[in-house]
Amino acid sequence: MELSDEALCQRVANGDKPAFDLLVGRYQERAHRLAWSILRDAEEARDLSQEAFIRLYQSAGSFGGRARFSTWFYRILVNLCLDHRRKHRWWRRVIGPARSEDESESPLLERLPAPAEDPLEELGRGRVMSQLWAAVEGLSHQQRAALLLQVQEGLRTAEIAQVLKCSEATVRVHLHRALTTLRRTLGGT
Amino acid sequence: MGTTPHPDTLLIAYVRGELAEGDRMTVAAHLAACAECTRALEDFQRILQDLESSLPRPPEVHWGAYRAELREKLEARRQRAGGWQWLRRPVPVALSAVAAGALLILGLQTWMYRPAVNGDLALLEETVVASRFDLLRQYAVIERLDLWEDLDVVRRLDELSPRRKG
Repeated sequence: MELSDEALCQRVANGDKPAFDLLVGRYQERAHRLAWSILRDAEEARDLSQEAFIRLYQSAGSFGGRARFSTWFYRILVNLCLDHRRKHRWWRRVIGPARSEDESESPLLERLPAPAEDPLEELGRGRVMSQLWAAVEGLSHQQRAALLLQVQEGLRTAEIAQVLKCSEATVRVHLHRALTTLRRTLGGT
Repeated sequence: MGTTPHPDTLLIAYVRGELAEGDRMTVAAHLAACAECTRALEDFQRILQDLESSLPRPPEVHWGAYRAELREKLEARRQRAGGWQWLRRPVPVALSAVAAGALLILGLQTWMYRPAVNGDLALLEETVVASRFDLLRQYAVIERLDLWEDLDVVRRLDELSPRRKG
């Protein structure tokens, strides 16, 4: 029988390295994808997602089991990413948004999933999606984190509140403001 | 909608089926009568679906290299933590070290620069006088002769014959 994330985390707390490797294997893609979605920088996403795993290893004993492991782990990761962005905000303003080589060479439109049917229709749709994601990048850190946790990781409002260490009402406000901004960007009222 | 306020912040939770029954009924009733909120709700739904179906792909990662790098970082962190383990309890250890250092410096300064006190002078006098008197050896004689104050006499005590005592 496959051990749950929570059981593996308990083992990590007791110094079980294979359990840690298993958890890394289960979460590496999600962690890296979420970090990249928040930071939009390949190197930083790699560094910070690895740092989140190191924090997980060091503080597995403090996981009380009251929340799901994924929520607890996302909290570590998102806090790291948001702290990082806050610390480097002034620098980003000076030099503009950080772009790694692979990102600068392939714009967001090309990074979207490949079109399925009518190429022209899909091209138009791709442009809209590109515009949409560009607008997501312009959201505040908290709004974007809340939105990504919902649409990308499928977290519920209560879980997002745990990750962001705020109330559910605050998460609802973040999400409403984010979607209102996106709606306005796409020409809605 | 005339009387009820727009349930703006509840719309997304409503779309995702996260509202408690009471709130869900309230929002549903409002939507039935408010075209503006209904339009907003439809737009929100569409945007969420678009976002979910078009998640940008992060750059490709070689996961074996990623895990190897992670293991190296973890090992380096563990070694660093081992070497400076006492620093990992920063507040009590640092405070104790500072307090101990301060006490040591204070104690040394007090000892080195302490003013001469009467007790010390008396001790010095006693030592000098005792070395000159050969006090321990001749104490019985001195006691009887009552010559404490006369240093010249005392200096010649060795010349006194024990038979002449008394």
